[in-house]
Amino acid sequence: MEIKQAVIETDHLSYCFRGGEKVLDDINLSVPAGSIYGFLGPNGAGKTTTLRLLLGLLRCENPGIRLFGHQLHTSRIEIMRRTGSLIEQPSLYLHLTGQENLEVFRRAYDCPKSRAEKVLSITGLSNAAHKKVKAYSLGMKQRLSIAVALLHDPELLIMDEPTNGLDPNGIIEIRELIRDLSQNQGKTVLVSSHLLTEVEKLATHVGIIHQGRLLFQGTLAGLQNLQRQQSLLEIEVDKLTRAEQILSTHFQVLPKHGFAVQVVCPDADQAALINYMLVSGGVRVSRLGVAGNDLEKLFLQIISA
Amino acid sequence: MKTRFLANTWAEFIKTKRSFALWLTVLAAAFIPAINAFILLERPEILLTKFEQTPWLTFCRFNWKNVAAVILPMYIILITNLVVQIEFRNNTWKQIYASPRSFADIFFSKLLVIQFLVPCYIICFDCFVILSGLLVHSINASYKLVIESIDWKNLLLISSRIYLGSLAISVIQYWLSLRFRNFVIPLGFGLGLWITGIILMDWDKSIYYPYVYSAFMFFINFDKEPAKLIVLLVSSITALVLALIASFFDISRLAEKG
Repeated sequence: MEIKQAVIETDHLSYCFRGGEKVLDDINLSVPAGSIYGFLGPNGAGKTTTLRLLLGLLRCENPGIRLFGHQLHTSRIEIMRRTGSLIEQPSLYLHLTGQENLEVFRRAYDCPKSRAEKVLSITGLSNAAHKKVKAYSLGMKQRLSIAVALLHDPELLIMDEPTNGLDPNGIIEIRELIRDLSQNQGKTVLVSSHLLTEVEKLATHVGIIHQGRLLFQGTLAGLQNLQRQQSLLEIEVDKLTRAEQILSTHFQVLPKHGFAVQVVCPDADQAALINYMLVSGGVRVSRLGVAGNDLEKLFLQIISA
Repeated sequence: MKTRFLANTWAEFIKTKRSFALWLTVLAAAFIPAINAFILLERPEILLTKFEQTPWLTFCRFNWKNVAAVILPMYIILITNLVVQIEFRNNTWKQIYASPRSFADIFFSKLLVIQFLVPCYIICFDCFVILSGLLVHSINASYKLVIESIDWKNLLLISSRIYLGSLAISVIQYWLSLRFRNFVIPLGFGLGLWITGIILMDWDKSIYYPYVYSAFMFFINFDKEPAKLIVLLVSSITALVLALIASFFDISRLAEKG
């Protein structure tokens, strides 16, 4: 398996606001190059604070924030040349047109004029370039913010809840755009969200944060594997006691639940085996299905552990 | 580095496009000359005698007395707030601080925009003074405000001194505008500090109070008290330098940017 170097690394990152309340506690983030890293957590978990620290928007003496292998507090400008960002709601000049907004940031990023046209085209805003931003829909503003983030063709994109407030169509558009940026343009994307379903559809890697602590970090496949290990099969049968006797020899059977037994089943493929064992043992199976083992439940289990 | 700074400063100018900044500059500059032209035309029986000796100098001073004490400080308070609020209102500070720019670049490029607009206001004001003088003369030739006798030297001298006196206010107001997200706070502070200055004008220590420097630059008769000009120049420059250093370090050390 190819081991990719981490583009973002934090080493025991902790942060307190002025009141002394600890909002981040011992965060060891590792975002591999080329990945779409879904940074997942409920509201107030510490996602935005982490992302603001990564962009140098919060003063932090912690030397353990490294992007592209460089320490943030010593190489901020160099790092920002390679990083595009979108933090919370769109940061755009509403009285200017889309084109003028890009022109303002193009000068800051010192990139050629052709890039403005290119990013407008990538984000599908070429036709709206000369409209004032205050006339844009929220989805268009979000896409223009992504265009700003892409202006200098950065290797890394940091996006804080980019689909917040968008309608389903807008969410799909942004998701497709992010996927395209990662798959076809090789960018590393760190995207935060409080919606597991969103991260599940997009990310290759996942970090789950809750109350300032990173509770899980790994690939999406790793998270799904964890989910499978904890999944339950619910089987409705005519003879509950007999069914328990048959299954308990090979599986962990949970206490009776109405007319059904629940079996801890780490591998979904074993459903067929379970069905076969029961039928062979003279038990009639009227329903067999997965019970409450979706990622949502796992997410809730992780953050409430 | 220098080129990047200039490019970023130009970007700051783009941000003021379609904002009220340019309108405010022109309207505030036209306000007093328009009113004074009206007064001169309405009250020639009282004012004509005052304009006999040095018509243009009298007319300039007639206009500048209101501007130096009231309108210019007010304009600086408003324009500084307006320029900085462009970022707060649009939530763009975070995007600026997350861009590959040094803090000094961000801080001074915006300050430069304000330092461009204030002299612009003064130049516009001087132009409106001349235009209103010419207009008054064209309607009532007894005022002798003819183009050939414009007192350019004194107009330039008064304008430069007052601008120099106002520099520290513009930096202090810039500092306050950067410090507080809520636009009412720097506005309230500015008005409070200015009113305090008006009250303190007769106090012998008021030379240490930057909000009165522009008024002093106009009202003190430096022909009679030349030493006061030096004191005022030194005080203005010292206040400017101190305000610059304090504001730069304070804003650069804010725990949260954007």
